[in-house]
Amino acid sequence: MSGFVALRAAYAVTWVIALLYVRYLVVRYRAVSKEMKDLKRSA
Amino acid sequence: MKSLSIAFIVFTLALLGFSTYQGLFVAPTEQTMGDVQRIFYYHVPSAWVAGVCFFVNFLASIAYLWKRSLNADALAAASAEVGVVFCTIVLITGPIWARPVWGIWWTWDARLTTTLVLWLIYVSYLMLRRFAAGGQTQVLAAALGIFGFVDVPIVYMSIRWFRTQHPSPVMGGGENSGLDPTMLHAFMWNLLAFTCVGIVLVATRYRLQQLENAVEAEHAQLALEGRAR
Amino acid sequence: MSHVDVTKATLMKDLRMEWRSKDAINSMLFFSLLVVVIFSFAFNPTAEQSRLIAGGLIWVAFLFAAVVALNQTWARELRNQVLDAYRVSPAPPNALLLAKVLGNFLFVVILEALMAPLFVVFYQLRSVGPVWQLVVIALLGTWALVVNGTFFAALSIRTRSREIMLPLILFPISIPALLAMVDATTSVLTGESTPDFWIKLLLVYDVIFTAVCLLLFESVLNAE
Repeated sequence: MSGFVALRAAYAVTWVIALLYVRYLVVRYRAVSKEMKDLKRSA
Repeated sequence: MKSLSIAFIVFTLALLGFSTYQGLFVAPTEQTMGDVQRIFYYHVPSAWVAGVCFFVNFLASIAYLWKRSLNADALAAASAEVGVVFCTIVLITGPIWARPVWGIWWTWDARLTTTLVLWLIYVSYLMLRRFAAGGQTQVLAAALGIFGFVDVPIVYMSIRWFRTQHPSPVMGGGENSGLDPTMLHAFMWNLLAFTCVGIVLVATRYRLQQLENAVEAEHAQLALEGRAR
Repeated sequence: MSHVDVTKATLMKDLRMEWRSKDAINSMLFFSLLVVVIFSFAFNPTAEQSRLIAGGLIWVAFLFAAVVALNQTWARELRNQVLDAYRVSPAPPNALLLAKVLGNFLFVVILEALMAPLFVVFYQLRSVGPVWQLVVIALLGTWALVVNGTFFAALSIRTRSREIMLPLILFPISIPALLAMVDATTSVLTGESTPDFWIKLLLVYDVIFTAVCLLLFESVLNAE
């Protein structure tokens, strides 16, 4: 693995992991909002 | 409040863009390692953020045991999770850096090994949170959070000594060893940017936890009133 | 009842119960024996090599056996709702923890004493360094494992997949102590270096974590 490839890979991996985590947060957020709305509707 | 959050997120992204540019293009190329060394600008700030997150988890855990505040627990959960995310980044960028420089992916060097143990400790924390049943999750997690952080200096000392006894290549050169001022500049910008990213992620996760707690409280309330779904 | 009385009473009760059934010590013993035998199939070392690897092997064997014992500790209490009785009684919770730790400590140390000759025989082990140092390392290391292990065994009582949660939580925290035990044992066996630093580290580890366990136990016991 050359230095050039490694550099791009490292930076890319950092972004990928961070964005995957953001996506995970968004998914969970949507689920909670939906649940809250359902609860409020039934209350 | 909401517009402030969005403004801060935009600011953070801009800052991150700027600092990345600094690290990739403005900072000079390192003599021995070449361009690969620029991984340093992402690798070390990530480690820093992870460390801060775990410290926050420690404080939040103590706060929870002391005050039994659900918000303290929410902060503990959030900071541990984000800490593990950044710790993962450190553990992956480290070997990617090591491979072209040393020809090996891993050397059990002091800093990387300590990071690995830290990662293991806080992943076990996250597993405890997921698998514990019912109301005592928070207390158990808080106890583990305290144990874990108290262990950190001991982990560091033990691995340092082990490495003194059985030396091996050190990754990434010394900490800030003779950093050229422009390099230090780029490093500081990235440090700041990553800290802001950390703050955004922890705050978001914290808010999420609060919402989930509220939903659970709603369910409990409905159950009490005999109207559970 | 004073602190010491409660500790002693609980400890005697546990020891008596264990003596009658010998559950824990039999399973621990057999498990360790299995590990020793299987490892010797895998390695087949010369006397020289065995001194290098024995440190690690011995402690891996003891670690797994200790986990078996630790899981048992609280399971028994849980079965008879003894923990609830403790919570209600005025007995200090620390006394309970201390009794459990001492009980487990005794079990595991006895186990180690029984296993040691087996290791010597199977691996043709002969220590270059002084044996008393090995004893000190064993005692300090065992305490490190047992004090945290007993505390975490209490922690993982009510989790799902209880049996796997205990090692999952215990092992990462114990890594510095394990590292110390293994490297100290190896350095004494090979005689290549002194274990002084490791012994000091184990002492520090033991003191710090015993204190933390005692401080936090009351909160954990009352978690409901």
